[in-house]
Amino acid sequence: MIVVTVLAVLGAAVGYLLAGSDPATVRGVVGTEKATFFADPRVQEAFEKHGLRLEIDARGSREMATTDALAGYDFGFPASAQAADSVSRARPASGTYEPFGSPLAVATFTSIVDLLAQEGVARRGGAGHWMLDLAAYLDLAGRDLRWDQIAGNVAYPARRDVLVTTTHPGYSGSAAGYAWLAATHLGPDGLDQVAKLFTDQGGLERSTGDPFERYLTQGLNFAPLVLAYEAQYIEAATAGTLPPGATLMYLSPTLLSTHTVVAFTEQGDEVGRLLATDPTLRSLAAEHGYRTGDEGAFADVLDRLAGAGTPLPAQLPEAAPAPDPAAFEAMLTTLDQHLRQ
Amino acid sequence: MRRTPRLVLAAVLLALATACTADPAPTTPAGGSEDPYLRGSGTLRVLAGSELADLRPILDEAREATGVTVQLTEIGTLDGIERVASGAAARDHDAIWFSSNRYLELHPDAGDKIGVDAKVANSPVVLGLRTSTAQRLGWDKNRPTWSEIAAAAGEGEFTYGMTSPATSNSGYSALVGVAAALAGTGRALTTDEITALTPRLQSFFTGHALTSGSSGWLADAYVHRQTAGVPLDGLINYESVLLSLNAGGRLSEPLTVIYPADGVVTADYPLTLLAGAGEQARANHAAIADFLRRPSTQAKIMERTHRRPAVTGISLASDFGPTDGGLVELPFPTRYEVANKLVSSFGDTLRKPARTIYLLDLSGSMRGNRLEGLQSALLGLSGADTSLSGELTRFNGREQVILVPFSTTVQEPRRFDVPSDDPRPTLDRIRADVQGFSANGDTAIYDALARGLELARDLDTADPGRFTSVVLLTDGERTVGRSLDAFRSLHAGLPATIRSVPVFTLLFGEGNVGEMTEIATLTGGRTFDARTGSLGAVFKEIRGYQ
Repeated sequence: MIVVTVLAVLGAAVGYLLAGSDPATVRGVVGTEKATFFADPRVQEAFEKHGLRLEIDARGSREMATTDALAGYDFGFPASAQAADSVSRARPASGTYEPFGSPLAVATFTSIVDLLAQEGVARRGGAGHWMLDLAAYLDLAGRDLRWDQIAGNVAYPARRDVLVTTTHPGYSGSAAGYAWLAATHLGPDGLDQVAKLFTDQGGLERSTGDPFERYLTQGLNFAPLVLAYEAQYIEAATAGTLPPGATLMYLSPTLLSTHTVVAFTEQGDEVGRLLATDPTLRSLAAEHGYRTGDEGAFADVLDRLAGAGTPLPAQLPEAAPAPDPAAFEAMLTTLDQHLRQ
Repeated sequence: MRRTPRLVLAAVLLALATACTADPAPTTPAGGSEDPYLRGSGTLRVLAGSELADLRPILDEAREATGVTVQLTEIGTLDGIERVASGAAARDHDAIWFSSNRYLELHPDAGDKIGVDAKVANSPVVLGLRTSTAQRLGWDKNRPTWSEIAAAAGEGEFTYGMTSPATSNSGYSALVGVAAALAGTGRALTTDEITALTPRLQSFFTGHALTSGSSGWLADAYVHRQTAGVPLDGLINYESVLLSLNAGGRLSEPLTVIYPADGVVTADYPLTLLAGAGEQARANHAAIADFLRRPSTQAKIMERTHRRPAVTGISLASDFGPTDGGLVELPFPTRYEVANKLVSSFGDTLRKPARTIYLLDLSGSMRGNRLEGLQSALLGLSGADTSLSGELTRFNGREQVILVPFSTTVQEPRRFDVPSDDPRPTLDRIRADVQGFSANGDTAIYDALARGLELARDLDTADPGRFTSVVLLTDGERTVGRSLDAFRSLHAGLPATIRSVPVFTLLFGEGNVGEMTEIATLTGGRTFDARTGSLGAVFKEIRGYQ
């Protein structure tokens, strides 16, 4: 065992020495939903081929957007263009890159979707995929309907409100996007109801990776509806780690979240460029469930996907227009005041 | 560009050198299929809840694998929140590790004090009842709701131990769970709802017969009560604590774990870096987090500590329930004032009121700093400490506080009954009394203890519906009066309910550590070390046990 280790270290060292040098360490802070992507040895290897060794910390896309939180990193990689905007205001960027995106969706269970379909809140889309009708859902949430009040509900007869479990919109990009969709539908007078979508849930996590991991490990015991990026779900389906009976619903309309690299240093720029252009990294991103703009590649990933529990659409489902960054920030600031009251 | 070919060569030489010595640190997991361990160096200083103590053996393995020593400093829930939110925690620690950050995250100043976290495990707060009690109530077959549990406790169907919500996370989570379930709104609690729930929560706490500042001591005290012939029917705590007790071989009757039908609150054990931690601390945190979250370690944590895994791909052991139906997660408060209101209501209106007897050495050796420290500690509990933890650990409404100063002889006890409405005048009287202390004379420790327990017996006969406990502070050896042996035989002759009144002894000054430990063991109390920190901090810590 020891000998093997030493030989491996020697081998690696000789390799680097022959190549002229050891890979440079590049430090990045990324939204937790992308932690698994960066932990994939093939992703690490692809960067090492270009002389970069990545050290990654994962945290909420909006939480990372402070000067202190960004200190010492070569790049930040939040989950949305709006969060990237906040990041580059907290620390000036040398460049920004938009290598891929992923729509907001709700990770759930077939038994739950059946109940929501019965209530007229869930329906099938053209590709056979499930959609959560945002208007109908907001109406139902506004009525404080509980799961145990739905007729014939044996799947999850819990004395809890029908609510999507999210992260905190002040810290996390996915929850901020969801708040934007709700606020857009409910209009300027609806912000109290938007706040209630969060305060009624109970304690909120700070980053999207955490509730999704509990969806995977605890299933329906954790929550029946969990806000996630489509990519997280596809990644788990590929890895075979979805809980029994899992399925995905797209918010309708959804929001395409454009995961954006904000580079602070030359090496940070290099990471952004490689993610946007390197064929290996782009195909790995598609494999991890991200939409890189190449619909064919994405369709191939979906074709190879076994056990997703539901058809997923190769074409992006109906999405709301990308929010104006200033309006988006203004909405979140007001919402944050409501949440702290 | 940070290119470092020389360092690589050095690493190879180091690896060769290590391979030649007797005790190489493992760099790859034994299983072989996992990635090499991340390496750090030095110490990761972690402010931690007492609940994490059972992970120390795993942390020893983490040191072998990563080169990082994790140093845990134990602290109570509210003290921890306060230290993080004020920024004090970051001055001498790199990370925090509590069973949950949810209360902390509600603090308005905490948001920018905490950094990346790694969730290490899961464990729900549930009820464990002796199998015979569970069978008598039919709860081994049909899962009760928290409402049914509260009603049965109110009718005297069973007694239980539970940690203090002010000092321990499991007690706090239990309180959140039962309050959310009783409210039954399906949403996070509001302050008005807490007020409306008061009668039903009081009923629930009628069965609360043992309290503690930490989960570990609660389990020990449960076993002690069983041995002393005054057993409780059960415990409310993490599933992991209950399953560990069942596996530990100390119980005369196993606990049936009862998963309330309307839900639970689950701990997720986030190892959380503090904002502003240095480069080395970040690297160390990453290495430890990676070690703790890899499947081989997760499986060990599950097997040894009965916590559920935080990552996918590990099959659950068969002792995790429930066997039928789900385990709904109850909503945690989303507002800071709601979280605080739960703790303050617990003390002032919900809990079974306490009878706290303080035996206070005022012999000549206490003169000066020691007496001032004691006075300041008691003044703090009487309202002078206005910090969050001070507010929530002061003498509560309905509490009976009895001060018994002693030196050559035992003084007449001073009893203060703190009312729920307008406690201020009574607290002022306690303060005036404490300010009048003066130190003189010898040390009649065992006369004071005898007097304290006789007083407990008399008061308990007249008014049995209270938690009675004794605190003994002395800074020296017994010099006059009864001996330890004489006290021991007096203790043996007390009724069983009074024999199980815990005596909490302070290790202080030149006090006799052996005797203080023996008194604590004999009575089912515990010792608190006040030889280094402030008496004020220790008196606050003891509040969790009273």
